Amino acid sequence: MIVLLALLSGVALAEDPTIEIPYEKYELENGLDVILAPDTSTPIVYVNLWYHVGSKDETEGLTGFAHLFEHLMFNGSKHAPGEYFTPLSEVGGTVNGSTNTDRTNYYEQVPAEYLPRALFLESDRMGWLLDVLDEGKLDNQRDVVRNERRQRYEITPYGEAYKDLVAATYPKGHPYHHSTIGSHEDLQNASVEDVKAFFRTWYGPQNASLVIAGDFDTEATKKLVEEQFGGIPRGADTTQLEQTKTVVEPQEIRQYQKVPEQKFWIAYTSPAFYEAGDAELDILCSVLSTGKDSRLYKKLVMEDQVATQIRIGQSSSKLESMLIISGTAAAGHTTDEVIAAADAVIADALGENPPTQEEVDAAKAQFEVGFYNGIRTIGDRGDLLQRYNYFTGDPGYIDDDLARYLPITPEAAVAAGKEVLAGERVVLHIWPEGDKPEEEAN
Amino acid sequence: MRAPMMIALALTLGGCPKEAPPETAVEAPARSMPEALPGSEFTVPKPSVHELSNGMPVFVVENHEVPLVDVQIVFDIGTFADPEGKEGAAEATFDMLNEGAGDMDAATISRSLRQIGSSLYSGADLDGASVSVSGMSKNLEQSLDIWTSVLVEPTFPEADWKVLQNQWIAGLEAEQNDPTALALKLHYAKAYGPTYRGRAADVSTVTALETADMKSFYETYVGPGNARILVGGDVDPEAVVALLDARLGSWNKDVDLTRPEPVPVPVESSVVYFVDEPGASQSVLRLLTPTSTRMAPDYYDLDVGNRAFGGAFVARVNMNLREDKGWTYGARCFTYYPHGTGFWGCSTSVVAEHTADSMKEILAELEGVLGDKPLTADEVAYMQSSVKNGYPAGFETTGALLSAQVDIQRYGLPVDWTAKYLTGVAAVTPEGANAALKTAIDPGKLAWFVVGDREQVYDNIAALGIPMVELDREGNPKGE
Repeated sequence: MIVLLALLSGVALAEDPTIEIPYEKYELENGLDVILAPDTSTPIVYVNLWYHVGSKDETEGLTGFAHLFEHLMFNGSKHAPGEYFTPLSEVGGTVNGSTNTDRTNYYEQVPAEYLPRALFLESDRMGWLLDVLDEGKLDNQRDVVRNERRQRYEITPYGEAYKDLVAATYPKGHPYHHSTIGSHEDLQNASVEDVKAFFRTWYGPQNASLVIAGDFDTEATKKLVEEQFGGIPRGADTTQLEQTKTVVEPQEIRQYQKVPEQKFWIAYTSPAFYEAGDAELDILCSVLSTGKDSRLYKKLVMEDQVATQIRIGQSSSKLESMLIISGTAAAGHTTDEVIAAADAVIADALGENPPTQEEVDAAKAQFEVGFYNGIRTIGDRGDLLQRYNYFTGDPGYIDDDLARYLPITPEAAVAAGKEVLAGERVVLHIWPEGDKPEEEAN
Repeated sequence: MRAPMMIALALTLGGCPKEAPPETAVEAPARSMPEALPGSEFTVPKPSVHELSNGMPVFVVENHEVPLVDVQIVFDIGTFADPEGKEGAAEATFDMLNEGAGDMDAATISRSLRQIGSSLYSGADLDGASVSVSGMSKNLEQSLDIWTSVLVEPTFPEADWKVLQNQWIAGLEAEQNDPTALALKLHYAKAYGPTYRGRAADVSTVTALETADMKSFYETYVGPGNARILVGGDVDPEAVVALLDARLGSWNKDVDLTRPEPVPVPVESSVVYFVDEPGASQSVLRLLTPTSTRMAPDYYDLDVGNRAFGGAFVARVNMNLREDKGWTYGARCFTYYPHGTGFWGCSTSVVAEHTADSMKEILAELEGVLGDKPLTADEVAYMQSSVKNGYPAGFETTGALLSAQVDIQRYGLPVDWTAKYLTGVAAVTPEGANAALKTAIDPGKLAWFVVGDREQVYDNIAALGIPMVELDREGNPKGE
């Protein structure tokens, strides 16, 4: 067993490794989940707070709001009214937050002695954000977010492809239909009242979990957490959305843009994160497209040279996942040719020539190393505890997670693939404007 | 209605024991920034230093938290040595190493690595090149076998080059359509003219490259004489050095160690290079000016001065353009030290309608900091604190300590430089930081670069009065 406590100099390596990140989990009276993971390997602490809300929880007309709200969390709270970054950068902290479809996170890594400062600031914005929030701050961060949208999606070639693919895969009304960045129109319409309502609904301690990882004294830290967070009142329980199972309406979308190459994306819906089939699909995808000896790369890129890139992968999320195939056509070839060639390779792997034991073992070896690569730092370990806690209810799920992969047989990988690939799919082609066929031009 | 109640509740639960309720409005409890806990002294760890039989240095940092080990060989060679008209030779040479080695083809190399969960990376940039392998410590010997083969007996197979060549050309064409990448590339092309970083691979030079060019580059430049090996992770230093010596200790091969001293083109007076990006909702905005070298005596002064002026989120430039104006997602200024003369510059993307306004604001900030609004003692002390307190975190993994060896080799820094860095930062005074900014930057001698929608932004920029040069996407001035 490998125990990830750096204090223990004698790390034991067993033949059949198991992994453990030591932690302790408890709940404050107000409902805040607290996970403490002491680790003295470096004199730092990592504080990571997840609010269990993401863009999936946004209401119609307010797309992009969860992310806009995240920005507002960095503009001061009642007892720390300035920029959130200022007192943390001063002590060498690394600070940020992020929003996705499923959750919103906030984190800071600071020298161990500044743990009280980090907890004070996190708790102040959980308890006292609205006291100092005003129209001016909202207007400013609305502009910043709209610039984030322009920079990351609009002026970047193919920047909106993923958003368009997702919108076509999940029908209107599905929590994942709209993108996390949202639309300019909805961002422009967001009001201070919307901010207040969102905060009251989603940002109470009962809807959050706090991870503290690193070099700290457990008993003293429990006291500190109680002092800083204990006084924040519990809010009303939130409604967490049920998993979905979308039946895709088959579509083939062709866009012509100012881009140099023909690219395509194909989406199928697939099992949610950590559900049966999720890990099997990871293994199948690895056999198909990871490495120069993988099935798709070898055939499409090396041998036939119809594509310069080809990839298949599971994009796992809380309610439901997508299995995505994407690629770039080589000069002189079309994405239609690439798709036909990819379909043939995949059909062969699910039929005549299933993955060999050797191929599946190589894929497992990749995932095993990936587990260790994913826990190199205190921050990595804190993130993982938080992720497992949110998605599985068990922060210590890492060993079970590894155990999802190790027993997978070639037959199981094929069965999972067949089930998903039997479904309908959305195909998105993005071609250079110059490749537009004459009859379609208007 | 819930907000006031929430605060009142927080008061009662927060601190004091519950007593008679106050008759007037409740004062906030003593919520204020808490004191720090007692700190501890941090000592920068040191790598152990070894030497193989052929004299190649090896640096090892142990870390046994996870059963992984990373091995990297770093060569003091890069794209600066590309032959004229064969720009891309260094990158192609290193990209091709794992396409064939000894009797293994690309698929065999890939499969052998994947079977043990290891990954191999090989690549070159402007001033350096490296080949690294990463994987489980229990598989170290097998990983090293493949890595060594790739390193000492590459075959540069013709068919694989054709595939890589096509991928690369596609990538270069994609870069031409990405305003951010295009601005970066063309800005340095203008900064150096047809030398050093001003020369870069393009479709014509990559089309011209043949495997013979890679073999020649490999023979001339890749060998133990300009290399060092960096090892980090779950290893015993003596044991790993023995494994390396058995594989590379007798690798003997002379390499060409000459290298040119690059000199950027001086900026005699400010200029705006402009590339049209029709319809772009944002403009990519950059500025550059050549400064001094990495070894200049005011290195630390400029480092701290830049952080306070524009290098950090909380620095003047980002606070103005993002947190006050809302014109950008982020703006940063930087120092950059390739071999020879360095640069100071800034980089951002701003909403199209405020492109010229953003330039005006950056200029105003510059004129302020160099004139009547110099950095204050507080601003300088803030950044010194930030650097000092943040330093230990950088040594959590072995990467920082090992990559410092690359800088030590590249710039000729003292071997204990990582430990001395904080002393240098701590010695900076506000006068020193302000003086360094003045030495480095003349607001009348800046090379600006804008990629944006001509229709929306050109006239406004022209109104600033800085001469403009419109370029095509290859970087050539456009005729009228």
